This record gives sequence, C-alpha cells and structure tokens, in this order.
Amino acid sequence: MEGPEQQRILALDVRPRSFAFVVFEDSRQVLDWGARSFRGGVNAVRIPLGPKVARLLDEYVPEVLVLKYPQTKTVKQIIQVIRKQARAYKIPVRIVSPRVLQETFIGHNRNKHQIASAIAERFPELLYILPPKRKPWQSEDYRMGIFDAVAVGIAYFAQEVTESPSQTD
Amino acid sequence: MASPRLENYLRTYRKRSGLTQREVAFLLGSKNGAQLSRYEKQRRLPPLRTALAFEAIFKIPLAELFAGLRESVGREISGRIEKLDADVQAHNNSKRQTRLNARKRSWIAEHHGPDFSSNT
Repeated sequence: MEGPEQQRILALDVRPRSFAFVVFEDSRQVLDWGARSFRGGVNAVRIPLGPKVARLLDEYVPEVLVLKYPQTKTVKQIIQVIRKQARAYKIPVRIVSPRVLQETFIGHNRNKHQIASAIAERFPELLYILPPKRKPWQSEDYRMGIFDAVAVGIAYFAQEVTESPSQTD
Repeated sequence: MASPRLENYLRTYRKRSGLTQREVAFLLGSKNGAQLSRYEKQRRLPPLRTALAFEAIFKIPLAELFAGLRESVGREISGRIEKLDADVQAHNNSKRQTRLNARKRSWIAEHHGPDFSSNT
C-alpha cells in the first residue's frame, strides 16, 4: 500500500490580504503554484477569498488542505473562511505547527531566503520564481509566499511520514 | 493511497517549462491563450491535432499529459472488453465460429491480460 507521501495536497500560506498556494502530487512533485490576492477596501479584487479557494479545490481535488498555524487574529479569521470551503468539498484540513516547520528545515533555517533557496534546489522548476535576496528596506516579494507554501507542504509530508508507522500499530 | 490522476497535466508541464499561456498558444498557432486556458482548466477537450501539438511541444507522451483521461478511458475499455469476452464465449455456434472466437479470446488475453479468457 502506498503511504501518505503519495497524496495530492494543496498547501496554502495565508497572509492578511493574499495567499500563496502549491499543489503537490506527492512529496517529490509540485503540480501548480501561485499567489492570489483578496484585498478589500478601495482597491478590492473582484473575486473574494472563498471562490478563489473553491476554484483551486475544484480544479485539483486535493486529498488534504494543509495550512500553517495562524499567528494573528486576522489570519485566523481568514482560515475560518478557507475551512468552510474545504468542508463544502469534504476535504480535511491539516495545520502544520511552527515547531514542525522548524524541525523540517533544520540546518537551513537561518533565514527565509536560505530556506527558499533550499526549496528551489529540491524543486528546480521553482528556481525561476525565486526572488532576489531582500534588502532590509524592501518589503517582502509576493513570490516568497509560494516558497512558504512549499515549506508547509514539505513539513506536512515529513510529519505524516514520521507519524504514519505509529498509526498502523 | 495515491490520489486519482488529474484529467490533464498541461498547466504543470507549461509552468515547469516557464512558458506563458500566450507563448504556448503561439506555438499551437492560436491567436491568444484563452483556449489554452480552457484546456488547462479541463473545461474543454483539445482536438486530436492540438493534443498531438502539446505532445510535440512538451515532449511528454499523450498518455502522461492526459493521464486522468487515459485512465478513465482505460477503465471504460476494460469494462467493455470484459463484456465482449463474455459475449464471444457465449456465441460458439459453428466450428468456424469456434475457431474465430478462440482467436479473438487469445488476442484479448494477450493484449488485455490473462484475467479475460482465463476459463477457455
């Protein structure tokens, strides 16, 4: 029987006004990636968060939706909307804790750019979207969210692989 | 358990190549990327000529580019092969028919696995 590393998953990195996504076919293959904005206010986008997530769930039919543990109240509220969509599609949601994320990238976790570079090395198809190293006065490139989402997906697979033998006991 | 394959992997291979929809549309000979977008989103099935063009562009076999579609077609055919095999087995009226049916069943066993025609 094939293990959890064979699952198709949708990993999201949620920000207050946007989210980045990565679709994994298994732990070694990424199918799609990108970033979506759902900003409100004067420059509000036409399609809100819910339908954008629903479209991804509809298109890729993942077995699991993986999210990073929310650090702020705003992100927690956004995750509630995402959970609602996942429930409608009967897709389970898994939350990856910051501890698991840290443990997965042990040795690379000096800064985000180094983690992103390590990810781009593992998935060469993502190399062309790797943003240049950020200067201290610059804001973060939106593409960095994609690498954060990949990190969430990798951490999920690492966690599942270590946990799955104990589940079968 | 492994997830069922997606109907097609056009977007995956296009993004891996780094090409935009407009660039692939140009290679296909289309005016813009709108139709390609429909193919990628599985809203439309490309005609055979376009499907072969995808194979030529990405250098990936059609069965891999349209893996989910290939699997579903394969399942349908397996079901029909089973029916056909049972049908052939049931109709052995004359000596000539028996010989012809034996040939058909051996071809089925050879090309579609020994599960069919196992009780000859």
